[in-house]
Amino acid sequence: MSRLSFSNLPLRTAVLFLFLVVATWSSSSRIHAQAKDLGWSGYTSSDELNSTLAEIVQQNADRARLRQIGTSGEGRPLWMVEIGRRDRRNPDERPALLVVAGVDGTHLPGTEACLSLIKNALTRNDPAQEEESGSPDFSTLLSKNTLYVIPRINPDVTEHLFRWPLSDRKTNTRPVDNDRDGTTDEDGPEDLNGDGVITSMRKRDPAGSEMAHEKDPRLHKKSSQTKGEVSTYKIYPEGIDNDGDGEINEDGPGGVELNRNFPFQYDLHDPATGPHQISEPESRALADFFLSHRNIAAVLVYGPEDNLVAGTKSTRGSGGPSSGGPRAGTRAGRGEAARSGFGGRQPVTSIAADDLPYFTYMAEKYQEITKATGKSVPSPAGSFLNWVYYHYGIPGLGASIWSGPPKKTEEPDEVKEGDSPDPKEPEARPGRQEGERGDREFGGRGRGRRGGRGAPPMPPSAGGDSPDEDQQWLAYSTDRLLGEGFVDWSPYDHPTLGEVEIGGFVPFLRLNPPADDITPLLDSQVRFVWTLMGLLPNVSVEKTDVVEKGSGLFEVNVTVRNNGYLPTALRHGLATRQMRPIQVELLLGEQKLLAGDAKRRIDRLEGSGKTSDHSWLIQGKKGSSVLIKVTSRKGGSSRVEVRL
Amino acid sequence: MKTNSTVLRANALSSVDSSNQGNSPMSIGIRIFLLLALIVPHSTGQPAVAADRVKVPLRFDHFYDFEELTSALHSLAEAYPQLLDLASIGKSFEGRDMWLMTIHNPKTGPEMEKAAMWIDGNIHGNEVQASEVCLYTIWYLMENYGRIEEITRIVDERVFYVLPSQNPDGRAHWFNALNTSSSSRSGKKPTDNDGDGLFDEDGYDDLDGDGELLMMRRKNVDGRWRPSHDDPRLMERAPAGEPGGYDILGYEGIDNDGDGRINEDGPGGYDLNRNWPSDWEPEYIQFGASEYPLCHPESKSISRFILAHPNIAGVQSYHNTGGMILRGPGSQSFGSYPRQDAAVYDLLGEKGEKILPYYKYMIIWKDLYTVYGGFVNWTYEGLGIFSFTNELFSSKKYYHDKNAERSRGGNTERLKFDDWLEFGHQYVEWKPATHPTYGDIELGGWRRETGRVPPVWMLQEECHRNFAFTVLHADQMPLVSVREITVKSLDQGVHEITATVENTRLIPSVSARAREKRIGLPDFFSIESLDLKVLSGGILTSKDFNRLNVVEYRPERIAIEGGVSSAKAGGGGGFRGGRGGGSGSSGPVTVRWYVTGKGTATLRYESQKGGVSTGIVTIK
Ligand SMILES: [Zn+2]
Repeated sequence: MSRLSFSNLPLRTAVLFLFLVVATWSSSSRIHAQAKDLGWSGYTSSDELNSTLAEIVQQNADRARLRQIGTSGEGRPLWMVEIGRRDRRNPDERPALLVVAGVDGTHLPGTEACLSLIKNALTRNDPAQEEESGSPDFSTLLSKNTLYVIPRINPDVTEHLFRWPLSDRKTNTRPVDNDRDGTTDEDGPEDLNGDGVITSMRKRDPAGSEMAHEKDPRLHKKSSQTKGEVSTYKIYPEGIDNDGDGEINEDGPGGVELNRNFPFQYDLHDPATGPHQISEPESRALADFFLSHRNIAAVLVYGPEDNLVAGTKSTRGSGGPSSGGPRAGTRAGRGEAARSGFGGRQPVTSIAADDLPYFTYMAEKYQEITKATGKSVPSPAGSFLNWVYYHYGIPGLGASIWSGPPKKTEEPDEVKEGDSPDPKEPEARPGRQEGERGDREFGGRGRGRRGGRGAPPMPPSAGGDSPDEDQQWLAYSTDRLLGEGFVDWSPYDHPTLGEVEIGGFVPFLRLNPPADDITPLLDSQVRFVWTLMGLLPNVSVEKTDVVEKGSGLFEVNVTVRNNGYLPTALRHGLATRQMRPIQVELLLGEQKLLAGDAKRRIDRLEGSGKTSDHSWLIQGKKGSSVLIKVTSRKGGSSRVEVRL
Repeated sequence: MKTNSTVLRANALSSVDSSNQGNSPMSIGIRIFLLLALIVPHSTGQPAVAADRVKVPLRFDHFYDFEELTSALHSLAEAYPQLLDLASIGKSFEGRDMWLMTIHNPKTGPEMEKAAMWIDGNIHGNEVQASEVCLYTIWYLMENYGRIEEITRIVDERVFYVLPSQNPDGRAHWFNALNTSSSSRSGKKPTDNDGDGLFDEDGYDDLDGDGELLMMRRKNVDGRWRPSHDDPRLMERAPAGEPGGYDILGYEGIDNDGDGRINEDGPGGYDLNRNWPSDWEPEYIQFGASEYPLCHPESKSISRFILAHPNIAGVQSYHNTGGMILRGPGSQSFGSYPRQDAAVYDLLGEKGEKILPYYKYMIIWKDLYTVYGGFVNWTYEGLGIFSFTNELFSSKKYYHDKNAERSRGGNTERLKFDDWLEFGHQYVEWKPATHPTYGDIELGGWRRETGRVPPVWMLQEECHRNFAFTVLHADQMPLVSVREITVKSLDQGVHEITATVENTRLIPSVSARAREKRIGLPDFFSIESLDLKVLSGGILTSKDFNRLNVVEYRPERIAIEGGVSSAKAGGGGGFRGGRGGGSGSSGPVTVRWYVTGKGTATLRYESQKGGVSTGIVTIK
């Protein structure tokens, strides 16, 4: 693939290039024709995404710009759509919202939400519609703010979901020697029964750890010897032992999980997290885009992680950027005995108490607008979402859009306070997280590795600790997917294991519903994004006045106001030292500043109309004018002329 | 056969016939004295080898600026093409080449099958003599290859990767721009240090145009400083209740951006040695950490090289100042290093204290200060490689006095040293100047070549001693060797092959850290044969009781997770003049295979960090 960057090309050239891209790819992507029909064909594949973006952006050049911010490991372009009216104000200096989908590339609905958002932004004109939705004046948003949309940051992983056979791979295809035998990617899965999906194998084996579920023999659960239960099955992922090391599928294609490749609580010693922080072209492109656009005042990530649907109940626990992670525990007390002046500070691992109400408020807006229900899903250690808050002090919001089928049985809707996962295994919460369920049934690859590099694949659990939920998903497969979400067990003669049965849940069943089920949810996502845009900081000069003191002496007073909802810096934003203060500057002509600094700084200005007053004593000609310039990186800039 | 491979031959039912093909003596070439057009300024230092032998006449009583360093490296590479390979591994932010010298003798085996010593310096741009130590290392090894037996052996056995400057921009600016001994530490990517949206807009200014960055003082009846009572050229704080008469106004500079502050946003403003992936913390915890690990072109290029060279088994990084041999951890919260590894560090560190008078072996966070994301922290904690940082030069060396205090700035002893031994050249006496904000002021103080770097005439010894310590470390990198192979005939045509591999050096082939975090590959002991069929095999855990850990799958290639540690605990163990061993682990590794058939097999022990050793078995 070409590595041309679009940033400097006129739009027309970019579009022409796109057509070439599409032409090159049209033959390479196919929906898994033989695979189970999960209704995923309605989701947008990479080539469809390329052409759709080119088309809609081309038609709306006054409001949108398409930029390639990088190239994936496999050579796919990484697109960013900048939305905002092109006028005298640089879009990169307006308060901005960044919306990203697919950091976890296995989550499909996010891209659809991004596309709806882009289409809506570019076609919307009707003022009546705006009033109806109660969102702020759309036209104002378009010229005061900027919306950056990255509809698919991890296309290589996403593309894998459109290929046959479908496996539970969450990683990109960077070659990794997972089993440390000196060879990379030599033992991946095989679709032994030829049904287009990689599921599980179960073998009758009293040495296993699973037993058939009493209510439904298609499901399993862990047997408990203390309850006198006898194991009947050993579970393996579907495949053979290609390299003869006694393990099945322990070193398949790839790779690195992009959403575990960011610096906050990064785990250096897990092969699935990459050789170091931000090591992948996709994470680097996303990080560099984010860091070179400090006007971004909030981030919304579409993916399995969700701190909006049930909000952030406490600074610890399930909601919001997670407090878990492998380093949280070991960092306590960091630096206490270290020499003063160095390392005395401790890394923050939970949302600052002052910031929490802002997260809660935005989550309430989300619930109000989308009517979505479900449970919070914490971000994995090393996620992009947590990184933007914990290292850069920007509110990071996550939405999964779809939270699974309606519950059949009553169960408490909230995760209890303090019911947080073992901090060493922030992701190991099967049965609690919609997002994590998809790969649970046959976690041979993704999950098994978490115990440590090269650890043998964990026996997949088709039952585990939440057999009731498994039953619900089985019912969902039967009712909604005509049974396509579950492969019934059928016998297979395995080359090394002998008699086994192959079957189980289809990968990502619990993460991605049929595309038809997503479509009705997208309008409200779009409305939420516009609402969120209206909450960004909005700094302006509220009023100015001049008091004449005689003999050419004047007191110039200015009131600066934040009319947005969010403060110009969260409390933790100040702690990270990544917030540039608001600068209030008096620009003089012939006049003389008698005392004080011409440049003033406001570290933080809260929203909802909070103000900050400044005054200068100057000497000058009556009737002459001075300029007051207010610059807020996340709240916008303005200048006002004041006549003496 | 590889030079660093001991090849053993064993015949069935016969004793072992071993032949060590290693260490073939290198032909000592005729040394031709070449006059190279090196730009080496005035100096009077003594060369380390007799003048008629010197092929590249480099001087080590001189600090090389970036261009001089580049040309010296090229001269060496041209003079020793058989052993040296000079390559740029990337560009600095300002586009300077990151020169890396590979020292490797291809005639004695492939590069990746030899343990390599990584040596670098000058990650802090102002810590300049680090590069001279690196340059000296290359120069000394080359000039004495084929002349000194031990040097020849070490060069033949090992690989050296030498990166004299991790921060070429910082180095170039230290020489060419206005700096103190402590400034130009950062790389030169413009950084907004004062949060005003402008980058590097308020740095130092040369008020009097003399090319030196000096202190500013001003007469002021209310000032709290006064000329020192020990020596009026130096300033000291006036005791409470006594008049001062002077203000100290910081280093030479003006308020370039009109924000009421002076010199608050100079060139760069970050720390490349806080930008590495292990134990990294963001800017608000660790000043200078930068946006994310390896975000700078310098650190990114270096990491790319190191990650592509798993044969690197030792790391030495040079800094200044203070006379320290440092190892991690960089932070208390990291915990402590595994006992076995700490023991290896201690043995090397104690040796270092002897080799380097006035240097102390120290732990970074405990004895110096906390460092998150340091280079040697990454190479050990992240990559499992034994790594040291030496803080070059100690002010104790001025008068060879171990009780001397560290001298920075106004130290009267240091001033006397300057008067007597440097003829007053390094101290600029107070002279008048005009400042746009402060008015009439005076400028004075130390030039940059003082305090952190040795006087040039003391440089060569500094280079040699540090080089010698690093060569000691390099020589103790693991070196595996198949020591013994026995073959026993059993019933029904089965033969039992027993083979032992040893590590003749102090450092284990897999560090405890690497084993704990599963870093890199384990060692592998394999049997390769077209004739023999391997029935079973495993690791012999007790010869006496015949205990065998049978490897169920692929017994013809047995993973040795813990590698092989030093052979002779308490003995000499190849550690010249010292106690070897002490790593606390098991020593040699013995494996056993059961085979059928007749013919030949190659036994191959391969270690990413300990080299490769093979043996041959013939069953008749
Ligand atoms: Zn240093």
